[in-house]
Amino acid sequence: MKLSELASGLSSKNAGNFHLTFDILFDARETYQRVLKSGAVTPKAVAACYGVDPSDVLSIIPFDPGNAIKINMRRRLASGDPGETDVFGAQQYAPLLELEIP
Amino acid sequence: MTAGGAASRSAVLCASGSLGLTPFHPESFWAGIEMGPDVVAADAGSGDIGPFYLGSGHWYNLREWEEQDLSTMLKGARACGAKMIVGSAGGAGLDQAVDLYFEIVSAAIQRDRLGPLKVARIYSQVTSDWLRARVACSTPLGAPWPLTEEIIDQTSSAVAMIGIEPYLAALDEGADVIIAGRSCDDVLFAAHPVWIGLDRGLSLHMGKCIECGPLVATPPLQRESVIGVVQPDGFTVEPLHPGMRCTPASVTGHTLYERLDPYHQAGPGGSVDMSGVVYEAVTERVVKVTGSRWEADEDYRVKIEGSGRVGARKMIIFGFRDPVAIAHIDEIIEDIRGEVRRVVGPDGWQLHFSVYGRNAIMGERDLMNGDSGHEIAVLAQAIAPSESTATRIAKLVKYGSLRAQYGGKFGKGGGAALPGDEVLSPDQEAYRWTIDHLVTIKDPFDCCRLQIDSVG
Repeated sequence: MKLSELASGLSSKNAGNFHLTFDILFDARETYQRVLKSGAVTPKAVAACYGVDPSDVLSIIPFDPGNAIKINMRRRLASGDPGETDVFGAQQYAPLLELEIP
Repeated sequence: MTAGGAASRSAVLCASGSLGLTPFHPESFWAGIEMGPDVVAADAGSGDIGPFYLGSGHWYNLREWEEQDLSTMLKGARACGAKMIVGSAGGAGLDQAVDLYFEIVSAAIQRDRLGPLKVARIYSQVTSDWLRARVACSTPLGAPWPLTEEIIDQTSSAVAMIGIEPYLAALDEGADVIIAGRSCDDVLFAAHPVWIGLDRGLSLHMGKCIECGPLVATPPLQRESVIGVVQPDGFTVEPLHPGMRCTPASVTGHTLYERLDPYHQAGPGGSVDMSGVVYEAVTERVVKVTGSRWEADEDYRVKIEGSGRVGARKMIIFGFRDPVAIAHIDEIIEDIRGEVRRVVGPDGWQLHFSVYGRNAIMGERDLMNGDSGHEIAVLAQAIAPSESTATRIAKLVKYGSLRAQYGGKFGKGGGAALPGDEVLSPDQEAYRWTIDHLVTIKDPFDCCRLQIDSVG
């Protein structure tokens, strides 16, 4: 299944001026655990969604209290830099919607 | 600090998730005032607004909306005898915005005969000399470069994000109203609870929960007020619009918001450890949070934000509907660049093309590159030291988009569709973040100044 079929919320946002943070939320504990256990959310898999090096995916953090997974990356350009087009980082999550979860 | 002991509860009303951005709704705010809060507070700033406002000093919000929000907050605070606290004045937290807010609040005190009130101003803008003296004790935070003399020379303005101590000092001085420059979001909400002796970890975590106002609740109806109440064993969060609820899911969801680490919130002097936190529903719409712990650092480090002017900026928007032109857009852009190099010279300018309908939003991180829409728009931004050079580049872009040669071009027309023949001239010049660093200081007041006046 695609991540978009399992997650109840998926968002991206600035975390400071040089980083992006992605929050994947799940309604049910079971779904959250299923996605975690699938082993599909890895730096390699996330990097492949963006065509970046796995080392550019700084961290993937399970957040049990919120049935959520947080993913952190560096920004392509700092927020509001000349030529940068998403000052809040609000639309950068879209490729993750397609991430395959076995 | 000084008032500690007797009081065991501090209720903090967050009037707006972003003061002055658009006016907050009075109904939920006054419902909060009915609950008799100790503090009426709002954060006015964010780094999210980009480097432009900090660097240029342009006003972020409409003054009339700032006046409206500040006046309503002041009236509400005086109606229940609460302190009023506003941080990161004006969006970027520059000294000029602290003074503007002081002027607005002072006028409201006099107009509505609310005085005499003690109004504290906390300034946290730092000068290039201040920065130069602290290069050796700086370390990069988000910026991938070190703080150097050269970077400081490229910086137009810089602010320190202050911690809780200046707010505590203002409360010690008996301030009824505090207006501060750039501040950590959580501290302006945590100041009163900590001042009366409540736990610093709980108070700061409460501040983090309510600083964006309605975003901690579901549905996150915009411009509504929320209230956080700190007690010795934990804190509660409650939205004040009857159609909204705080649930453990909404509060934990907000705990993730805009931060890299959901378990630790670092700030000046230490961090809040949230790894052992429990979020539980007290009622259908109130959540209680327990277990947030403050861990002090050995050093006192403040974040410095700096922004520098890159240049004047001119823009052209052009579009294509012809599938052949769309298929050759890179060739067209390269052709335009070549002409700019020929006429203006090889360097000293920037020209950014964002191809909407293809990959403008994500750039090279968009792997659907080949899949363009049936029409595309190109935003071209020319940036150069002088306005005249930026204009020359923009005119070359415009002409180039009309006259570009590309493979398979039909007929002699086929130039770009332009929404207008004029060069677009935004009021805003181009800026960039130059400083995003931590600086270790000996005293929390090294980076700020406190001034208190009696008004009215």
